[in-house]
Amino acid sequence: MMRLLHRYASLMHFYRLSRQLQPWLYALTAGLLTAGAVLGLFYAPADYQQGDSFRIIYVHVPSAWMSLFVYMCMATAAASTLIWRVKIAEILLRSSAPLGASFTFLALVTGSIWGKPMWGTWWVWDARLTSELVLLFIYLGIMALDSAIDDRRAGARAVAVMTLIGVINIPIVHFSVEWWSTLHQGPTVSKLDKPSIHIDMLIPLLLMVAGFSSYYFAVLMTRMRAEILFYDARANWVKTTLSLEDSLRHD
Amino acid sequence: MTEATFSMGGYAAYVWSCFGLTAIVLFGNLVAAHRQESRQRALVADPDSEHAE
Repeated sequence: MMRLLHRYASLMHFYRLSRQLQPWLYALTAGLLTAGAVLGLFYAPADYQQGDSFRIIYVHVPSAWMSLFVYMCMATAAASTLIWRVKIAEILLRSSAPLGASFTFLALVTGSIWGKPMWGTWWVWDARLTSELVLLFIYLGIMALDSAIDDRRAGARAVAVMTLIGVINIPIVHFSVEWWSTLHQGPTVSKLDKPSIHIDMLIPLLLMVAGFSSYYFAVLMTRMRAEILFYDARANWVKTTLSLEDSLRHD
Repeated sequence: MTEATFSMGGYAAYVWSCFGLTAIVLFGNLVAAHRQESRQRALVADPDSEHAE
């Protein structure tokens, strides 16, 4: 009984907390993305080899980082789902998948658009590009599996298993540029002691990465609330909370 | 900001299409998430009415 209460309480608290936090997160996201884009597009110096085309980095690299970061969040949630059956972890897991797929899609497409002028081709089947494409298919597979199983709790466990199997691809994506010779350039920023990028180019990139992260958490909250309303549709707290919110809105 | 700033040294089509596409995808996701939430709210309020899946 206490366990049951605890579970309801945690979904309820997440719901209410996310309502309070979300406006701030949206404001933070807008600020970071605006500052990052303006600095990156107009103030960062042009690259000595790539000219202005390098500015694609400011959307490409954050998308690519997020495609891996979201997956790691999902893998953590998947483990919690399987080991402790935590409802909020299930909800985080399935709510993250479309966002992760979107970031992966963006990384692939912006990379392709960047590749055309720099490499002379939209696409090559090299290790980095191929493993990132596999990541997109894993995300899409997770989403398809999730929507194919009607029972939400059983579906979450299936999705969690598939997510954990897919983790194998994450180090492959990350280290592909070191393990295989590839057209894709090696790491630029992660050599933290001595990044091979000028500070005026680096700052907008870090702003964009922070903006993308805060965007992910902000939109994730909305998706999770929708899912919570589904899980707890018959709970009393949902009825009271929604009617309270409605009455506040109409005032 | 001059015209030259926006021409991106000849790479305007590549740079702006990447930023434009990113903006569309991010904004689209945001709108889709809030629509999903409103739909779910409507379902909770009136479980019989809705077939708008």
